Amino acid sequence: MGSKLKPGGVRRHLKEKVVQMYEDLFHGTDPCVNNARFWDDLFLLKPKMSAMEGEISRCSSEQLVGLKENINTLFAKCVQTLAHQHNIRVVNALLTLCSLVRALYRKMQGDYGFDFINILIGFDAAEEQMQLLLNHCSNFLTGEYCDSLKSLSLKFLLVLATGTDNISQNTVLEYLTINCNFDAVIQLLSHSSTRGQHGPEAVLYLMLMVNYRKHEMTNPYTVNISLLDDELLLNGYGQVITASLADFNHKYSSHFMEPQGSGWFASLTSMVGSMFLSEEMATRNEHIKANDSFLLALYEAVHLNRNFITALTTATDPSTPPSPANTLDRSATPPPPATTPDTPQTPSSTQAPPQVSVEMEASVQPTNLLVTFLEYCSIVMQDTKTEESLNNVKLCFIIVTCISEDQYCNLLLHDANLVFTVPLHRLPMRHRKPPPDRTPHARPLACAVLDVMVEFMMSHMMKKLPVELFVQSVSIIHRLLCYQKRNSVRLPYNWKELWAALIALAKFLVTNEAYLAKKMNIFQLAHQIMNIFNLFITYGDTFLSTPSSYDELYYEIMRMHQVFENLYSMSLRYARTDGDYKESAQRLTNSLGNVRSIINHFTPKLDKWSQEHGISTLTEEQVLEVVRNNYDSLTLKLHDSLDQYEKYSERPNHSTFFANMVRSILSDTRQSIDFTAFENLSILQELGNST
Amino acid sequence: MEAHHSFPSPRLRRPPPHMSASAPPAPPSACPLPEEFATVHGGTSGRRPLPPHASTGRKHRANHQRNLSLDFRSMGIVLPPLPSIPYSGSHQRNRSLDSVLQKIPEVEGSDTPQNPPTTNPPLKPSLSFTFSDAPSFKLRNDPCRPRALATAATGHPVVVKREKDRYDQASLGSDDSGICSSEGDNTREPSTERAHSADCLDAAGLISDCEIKSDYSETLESEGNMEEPEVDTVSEGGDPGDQTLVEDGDDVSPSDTTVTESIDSPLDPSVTDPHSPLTDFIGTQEKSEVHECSSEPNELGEERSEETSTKDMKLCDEICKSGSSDSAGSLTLGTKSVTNPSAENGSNGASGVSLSGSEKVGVSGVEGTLSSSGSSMAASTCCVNFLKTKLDEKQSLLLRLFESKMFDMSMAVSYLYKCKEPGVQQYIGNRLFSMPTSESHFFLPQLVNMYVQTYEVAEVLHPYMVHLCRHDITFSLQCAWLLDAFSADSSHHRKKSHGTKLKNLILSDELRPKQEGILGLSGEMRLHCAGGRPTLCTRIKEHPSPGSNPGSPVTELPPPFSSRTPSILSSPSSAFPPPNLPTPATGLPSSSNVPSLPSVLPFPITIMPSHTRKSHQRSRSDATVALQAQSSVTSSGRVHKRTPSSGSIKNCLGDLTSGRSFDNGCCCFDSEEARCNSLRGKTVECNCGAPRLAPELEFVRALISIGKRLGAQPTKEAKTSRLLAELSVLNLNLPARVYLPLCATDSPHHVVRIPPQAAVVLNSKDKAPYIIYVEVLEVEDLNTAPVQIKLAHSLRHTRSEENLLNSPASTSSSQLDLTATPTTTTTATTSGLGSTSSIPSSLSSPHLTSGYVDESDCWSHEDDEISQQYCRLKKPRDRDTISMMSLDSCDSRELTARGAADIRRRLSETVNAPKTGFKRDPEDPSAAALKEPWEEKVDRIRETSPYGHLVSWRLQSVIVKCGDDLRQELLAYQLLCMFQKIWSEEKVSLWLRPYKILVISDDSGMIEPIVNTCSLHQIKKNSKMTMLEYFLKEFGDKNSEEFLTAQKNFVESCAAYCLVCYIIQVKDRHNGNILLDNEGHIIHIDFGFMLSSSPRNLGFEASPFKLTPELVEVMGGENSDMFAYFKILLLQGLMAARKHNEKILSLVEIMSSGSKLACFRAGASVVPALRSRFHISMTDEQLQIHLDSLVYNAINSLTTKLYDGFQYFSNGIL
Repeated sequence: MGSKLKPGGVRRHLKEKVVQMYEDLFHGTDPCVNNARFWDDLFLLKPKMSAMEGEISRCSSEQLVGLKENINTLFAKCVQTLAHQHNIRVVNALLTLCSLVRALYRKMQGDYGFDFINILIGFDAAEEQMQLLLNHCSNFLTGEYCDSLKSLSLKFLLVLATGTDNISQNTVLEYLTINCNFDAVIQLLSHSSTRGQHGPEAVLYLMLMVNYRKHEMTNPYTVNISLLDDELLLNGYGQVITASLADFNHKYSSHFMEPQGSGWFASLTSMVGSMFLSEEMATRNEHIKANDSFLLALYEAVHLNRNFITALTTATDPSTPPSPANTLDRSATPPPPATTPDTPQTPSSTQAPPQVSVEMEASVQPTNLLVTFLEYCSIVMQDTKTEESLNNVKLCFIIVTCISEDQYCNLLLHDANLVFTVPLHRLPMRHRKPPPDRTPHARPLACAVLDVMVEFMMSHMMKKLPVELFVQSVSIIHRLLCYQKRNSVRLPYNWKELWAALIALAKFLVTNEAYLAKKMNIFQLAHQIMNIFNLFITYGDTFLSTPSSYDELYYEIMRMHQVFENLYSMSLRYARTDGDYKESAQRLTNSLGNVRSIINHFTPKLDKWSQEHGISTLTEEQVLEVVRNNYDSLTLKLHDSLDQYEKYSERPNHSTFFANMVRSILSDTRQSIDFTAFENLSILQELGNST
Repeated sequence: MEAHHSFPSPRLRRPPPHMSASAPPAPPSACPLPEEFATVHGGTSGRRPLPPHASTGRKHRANHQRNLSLDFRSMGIVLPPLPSIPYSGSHQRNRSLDSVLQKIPEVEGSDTPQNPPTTNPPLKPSLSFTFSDAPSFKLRNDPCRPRALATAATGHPVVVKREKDRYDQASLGSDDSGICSSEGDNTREPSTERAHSADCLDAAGLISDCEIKSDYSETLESEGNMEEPEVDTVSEGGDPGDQTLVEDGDDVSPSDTTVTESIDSPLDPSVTDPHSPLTDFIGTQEKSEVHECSSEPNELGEERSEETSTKDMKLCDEICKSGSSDSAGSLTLGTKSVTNPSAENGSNGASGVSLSGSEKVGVSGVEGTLSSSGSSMAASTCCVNFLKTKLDEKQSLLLRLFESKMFDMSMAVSYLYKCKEPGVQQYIGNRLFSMPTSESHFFLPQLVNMYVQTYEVAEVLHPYMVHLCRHDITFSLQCAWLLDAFSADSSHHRKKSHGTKLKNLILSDELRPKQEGILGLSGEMRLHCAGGRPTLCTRIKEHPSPGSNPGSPVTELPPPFSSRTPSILSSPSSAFPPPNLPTPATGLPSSSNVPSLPSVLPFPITIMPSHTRKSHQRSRSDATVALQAQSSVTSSGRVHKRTPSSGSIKNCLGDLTSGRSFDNGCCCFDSEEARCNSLRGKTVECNCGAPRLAPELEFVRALISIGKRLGAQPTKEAKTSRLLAELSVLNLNLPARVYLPLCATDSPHHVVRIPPQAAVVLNSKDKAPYIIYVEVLEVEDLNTAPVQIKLAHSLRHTRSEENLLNSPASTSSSQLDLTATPTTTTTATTSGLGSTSSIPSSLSSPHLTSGYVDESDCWSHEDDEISQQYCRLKKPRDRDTISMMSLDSCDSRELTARGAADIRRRLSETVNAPKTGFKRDPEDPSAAALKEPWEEKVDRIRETSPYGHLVSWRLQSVIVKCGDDLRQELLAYQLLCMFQKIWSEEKVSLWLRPYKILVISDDSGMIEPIVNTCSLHQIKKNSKMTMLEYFLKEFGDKNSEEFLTAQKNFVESCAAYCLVCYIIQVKDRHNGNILLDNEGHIIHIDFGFMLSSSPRNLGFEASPFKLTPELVEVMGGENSDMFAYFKILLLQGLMAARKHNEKILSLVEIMSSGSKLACFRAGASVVPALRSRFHISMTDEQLQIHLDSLVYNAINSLTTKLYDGFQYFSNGIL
């Protein structure tokens, strides 16, 4: 029917034969009538995907129903051809399938269900055909086939998986769960060569399939990924993610180190202005978005699979020479992540200037997924202006939450022998002086997590307070502290920074209470903050590393006592008036008890001391001395369940978040599946040679 | 092949005939060519007085062998009627083969009369000697062998080249082996024409013959003349009478079997030599016989195959009958075997392409076993006898020494080094086979150094080394590494030294029967077995092959020994009653081995064939594949990890990212079948032909390359994190069939994990030695025990109570519960899945099911998180808020208030609590790690290890060092061990702690860490006390038992190390190099400066040893009893050491030859200087006075203080 729309016969003659055949197909008549060898010929010819998709898109739904016979036959013939010994035919058939499925999906947009399967395959044959088809795909993936065939099979699977905006409504995926090809796909990750070629797509596919009706049914992909215990595969999975994130980190850092080779942080601070250039932000966001799928994959692995934790700290690829590109483990992925061909690449970001790479070489350390991920977090969280970027940070924080909840992972995070240098990036801000220009010491990873959280708090006290993120970050800190308290782990961390950040946050809440309280529950956040302080105050003996740090805690409290007093009065105000936040405010009031008694206990002592010595303003040393000498009469109240927290659960709190995330990834992926490589002749020839 | 042998095809006959013909002629030939004859007999004559010829022979002997050899060559060149030739060559070989197979019968027929069974008592020794020699020849021959074969096979033209080649290649390298193989093929071709079976055997025989000859030639060339006579005798004795005869005939009569001669022409003596031991027997026993034979027309030769066989039989019978004959028989076998091994090597090297090669292997295996076990002893004794007769009085004294019980490895090695006389060297070379293997392990560095440095000794040693390498993978690897290290120095003179060749031979993994060859063989054998009746030959071959299949023949030695030998003996010659063989009259020490032969004889024959067949089946490649597949199906869960379903069976050896870097693909020990067998007590054998050495090599290589990469890191911190990263990648490839070479011999084990966190970079300026703690599982046999399956971190213990409760409850609710049930079984899964209508057929998909089955136990620790998640669907968060941790904190709830002062106090108490360990310092991470008591570390690591629950779990540690030459440390280790041994023998209570060293190359190696020690430097730095104070603190009051024990330990160890330091002049004795263990012993480490080298040669440290007043203080001062005890110990120790100074000296002396080690920088003066420090001429009183002065000097030494001060300023060492 489509051909009718075409103008004249003249052009018809110029049509490629394959296009002609498509037209015949979609005319509704049996193509074999005119040409007995139609099907034979069809798969000999290089498919023209755009033509095929064009034909289908021109059909109305009724027409398509009419074409059911032909489409079903086409599908069946394609599947049949997959068994052919000539790779060219196989590839042609797969390409035809891809375009057919894609075009039909497009056509069926919003009208899913049986119709789709019926028109594509036909109900009666659907199960059988799909099984055949998927078996072929699995074969291609696992067998000794050429890389392009593997890649094409993966792409086809992705086409299937990304057919609809809501993955759970994609009925075809039912067949993918019945004929679960998890093993076939994940095996691609086991070896570095196949991982480099197909890793990103494999991970993407698995991630999507894990999200298929994950809450409504036993999804074999979910089950399998949670059971996966082959260290090699887990590692491969992690490496794919690491590669992508590290690539981003590398681009980011090389971009911002460009202006001067002098120093990392110095250059950062000088970038204050250019940083906010909108166009740069745009590319940056593109990159971040491209990484969403990997972040989600990381989330699924961390959330579902406990064994994955070991992969978090397994070094990526130490055998490669320490050039920046290699240590960031891009050796396995020659081009940047294949799934993001659409991401525009600014010339500046693709190439690091030579002097930078030289400089980096000296400092480059073997990296691992967690290190890379934390660095990535530190970059991503610099921007929370848009909804999208907020979601990014949220996803990152959810992952960190999952990590910080896991026993074994905590063990790794706190292992004094497992030290890493995590290059964290700080948002240059005018009110902060540049951090000391030194390469950080390798420390246990928990320190890096705390640093990231502290940095987030310090840099996001803005009017449009991302309170959810704050809650997340404080609760992450809480989890780490709970672990430390429970296991008497004395982390060598400079807690002062944390206290300062928490106090600053409290101060910000108090000062902006009038504005903030209308929009959000700041009392819950404040309560969490106070919980942390209470942990330090009442259980400091179990996890602080030096006695003097306990003194310093008191010093900080005394120094900032005004903040706590204001917080108290604010909470009292809300607790006494009936309102939305009454309960939270009451809890906050309670939790302030210890701090208040400390303040009440030491204020007179300090006053007395300054009177005695005739000094109006005390130095830190002097305050510390007073504190040290006056603990005796101070009694602290132990709060219940200070070290308890609500375990993270995806449902119901975050299920919509993830659904949306998957949805956006899905649509991105759908657009980025790229077949151009297969449409050029040379690949086909190569295929021919390889058979 | 066996079958072929069995078939007497005309062609087959033919060659043998030649042989036989030649055999008879041989004696005659001697007549025509007096010189040759003389040479031929020379051996014999040498043994005993004989006819004029003998006298000539003697003459030769008297001369240097070299001269003889030269002469012979020249003569040979003249002599060999080249025309006769190729064929003859092949014939001869065939003969030899045939003779091997058939000699016995032939001998019976013709020779019995000739060789009076009543072997003359004097003759026996000679016979035995021949045997012993034969092995040695073989060994030597190895290189030549192949060529010889080739010549035989190809024809005469080659001959000349061959000889040249020999010279060139004199070394025993793998190349030769390759040549051999090809040659073997060649040989076959001619033989194949006749019949494969015959060929195979023949080939083996030929090879051995050829080898012998070639060896001989080589020996002649290379070595002194001395060898020649021996060789001659050997050759005579070595080949069964037939062969010898034949050969002789050939040689003698150019017309007859000119070919062999032509080939060997230069080697005329060699030609004679090739004679098998039997011939020797014959010859020695009665030369008259030989003469007779020779006198016999050569034409007889044609028939000889039969004759020879009969003769052989006769010989055997005779031997058996004669009391001594038993030993002789066994000996002969042994000799053959010996010869064969060499052939084997070649053939194996060739990759057993040729049937003949494989057969040879088999044969060699048999022979090897014989030689090694039973015959070696006999041989050695025989040799002794021979030597006695041969050598003059002086030497006979030497022989007596050699025979005495005093003669041990140390002496053997030292005589091997000192004595240039080939006969003695030969003898010792043979004698080595009877030494305990542990001894040879200990003296390996010396053996290797001699091997590398002295070509003659290498020839003598080669068979033994090869034998050991076959026997023991661990040994062969160490040997290869040492060869590498020692050849590095001398590599420049020769492009490819024989040391390198041996190394390559070992590394090529050819020192075992090649699987492919076996496969090929097996196929052939099947055919043959089916078609033909098994002859002796076939049997021999068969036996070896089964044995060889599983692994190296050597390893299998024990079982095959019993089975094979009997078959050999019994087969055709079953006529003679096995019981006849009495224990050797000679009364060999190892007689026990010999007797075993006869007793076994009756049974084996029947057994053998079945055995072989089985092996064939196994070896079939498809079969193994099928097996694997099967096993993978049956135990899919386990297997899938090792061989991913993706079909990537590619060999990933060496690819650390593959996760199977140390997996050579061999599943023979991991298959279901293998497991069953091992449970049943059957020995499991590897028949897949996977490289055996590769995994361990790769493992060590990986460790070394980590060290190299660490060295490139700028800071200690960078090194540490790099190490962590590298090890975590390495871990991906574990468990595997790899082991720490240092501890493998004491406790065989497999490495399962290297906890990266436990590894530490040690202090070093520019290099990066590091210590790793390695989790291993002890196994019975590291080559055959199945490898532990990879385990994930088990988090069972962290699973919380509420999850346990919840999960079953929720089961009923939905299909999701499936995930929740902690104990998921297959049935459970099915039901669960079944209920979900949406995925009805999911179970049928193989992936899923296998997943469930495999992971069934993984579920239990996986489930709770997921189950929790799903549980919440059902009963939303009733217990959510209570975290796992909350349960632990119950106690805190009871308190409602707490004093701040209390908190603060507790904090400071716990933080400031005295710690056993040192504080972690990023600049010196090793201090903390090393300080941790070993037991605690073991417990800690065990707790966190996924393998910790296994009973056989052990923790080992090793220091990996790159960029340092550890050979000197190795020498120090040997010296320490030797001192230790001497003192324990002499019952002097001196205490030493040698630490093991593994040399991997000349700039890398591994060191055994001494656990529970701390350097004096670290003690001083951390405790800030004097030694005495530290002792008091650690061990208690001065009169407490602990203190006194510690003090005694201290004194005994201190005295021991003082002596050692004095005698071998250990320098660089700063406190960082002196350790104190937790029992009070002092232990010196770092022997980088000893003998003639000292740091910077500044003349620091002039004192004889380090004995500071501080140390004396620990002993209780200069006037205390303990100090007196110390001095007594010194005296006793020195006297004991003096008594055995030769042992020490020989260790050093051998290593000093050709060495570039720093400690030998002073060159020739090193050993005399060392000897002088034993003060051999002093009386006891003088010695005591001297020691007192040494002690005085040491205590009051200025230089010690200076040096400590220097170390303090330069390196901060206290």
